[in-house]
Amino acid sequence: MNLVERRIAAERLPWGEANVLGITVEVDGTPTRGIVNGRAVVLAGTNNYLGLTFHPDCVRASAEAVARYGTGTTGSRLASGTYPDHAALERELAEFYGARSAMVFTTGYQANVGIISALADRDTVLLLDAQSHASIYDGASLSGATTYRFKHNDAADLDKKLKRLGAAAGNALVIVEGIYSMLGDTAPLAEICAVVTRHGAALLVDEAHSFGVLGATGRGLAEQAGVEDQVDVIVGTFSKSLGCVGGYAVSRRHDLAMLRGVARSYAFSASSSPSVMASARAALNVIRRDPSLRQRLMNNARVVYGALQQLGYELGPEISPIVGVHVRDPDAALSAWQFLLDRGVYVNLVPLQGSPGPFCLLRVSMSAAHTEDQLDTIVEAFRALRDSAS
Amino acid sequence: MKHRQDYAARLKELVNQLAEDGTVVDEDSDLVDDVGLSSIDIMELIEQLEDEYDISFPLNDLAEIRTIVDMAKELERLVATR
Repeated sequence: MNLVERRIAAERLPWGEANVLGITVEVDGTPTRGIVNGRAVVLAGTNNYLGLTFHPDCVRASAEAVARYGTGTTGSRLASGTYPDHAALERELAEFYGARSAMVFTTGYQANVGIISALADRDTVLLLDAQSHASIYDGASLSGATTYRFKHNDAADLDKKLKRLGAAAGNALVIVEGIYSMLGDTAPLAEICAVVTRHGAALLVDEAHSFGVLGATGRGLAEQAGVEDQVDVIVGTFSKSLGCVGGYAVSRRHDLAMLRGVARSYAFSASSSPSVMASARAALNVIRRDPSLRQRLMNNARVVYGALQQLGYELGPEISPIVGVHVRDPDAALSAWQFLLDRGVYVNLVPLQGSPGPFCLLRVSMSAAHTEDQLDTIVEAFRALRDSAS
Repeated sequence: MKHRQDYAARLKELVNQLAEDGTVVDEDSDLVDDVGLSSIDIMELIEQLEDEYDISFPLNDLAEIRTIVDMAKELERLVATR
């Protein structure tokens, strides 16, 4: 066997025989209904928090852009890949955040990898929340910086680790997330900002799951916590609340323009297709003018979180659009996931390897587009699951 | 002052707590392949060591650590340079 054969033979996908990770989701013209494994289901595992994938403004803008500019840019942002919509979206994001500048990347993953590896090098120290997303760990790894984890959402542990660095804390970048993707909990951002400021370190907040969701105007956790001026860089994505794909970085404190040449995922990737940029712009506009979407999302989250809690499920620590249901045993988790699917509810099945603790997760992600009937379907499926287990 | 053998002995205790019952844990056992620790177990072990010895454990060094002996060497180095 050569290397490729040995490598493939050694790999085991979680629940490989059930093909959980290879399912196809066929959306049926709305953000929250689709067909999975041949079964019509309510989609409750899509990160489509505001349900904007079928918003008429976004669909229209996208269709007009593809007709006018074509299907792709075929170039990097640094070459021929900056079209009018890329530039306009950066201006609009900067304005939305009150930021000095904004950079738009092709994906959220690339935004984290590109910005972190551009800011950090072998002489830098990175301090990552233990439950950081893979893109943050990968950016850290690519940077070559000395990297430490601090305990999840533990400002005291961060303080201890910055203190141990002594003068090197002035050359440290701390990275946290607004909402953590698996359990839906938020960072204690005001406490973290105080610690970071006290030690003279810098702070990056990944608002991937909180952009469009938290804050009076939807700018995220930093807005909600009232600390936007203390954050050095905010990174986010268009693939959740904005309903398309792409990533961005903004800063109120710094001009990020100089990073365009050194953020390698920015410089060496083809830019987003114009239709994606046009729909992101339209979605940002919807978020800015319609706060009721955020309210509806949080109401739906409250209904499902409260109901599942009452049913006795072990959940993440706070009400959030991400409701993480703990299941200890991987076989039981697969059975539960299939049970929910058979009752018309699709949620994400998270294996031990992707979970923040010694448990699998049935990860429910809520949407403002879920109707009352769909919320009932979700809750009733979980009720039947509990009853079947007892 | 503690020596590498002291760290290895303490590590063996901690690894035994994380390993499944009946697993034989030697100082030269591969923590993942032989002992069966998961990435979550390894991170739990590191958090425990950080608290116990008042050190910060760089993730960069993890790739080089396969056994209790490897980890004891790293621990000795981190404690000596704190």
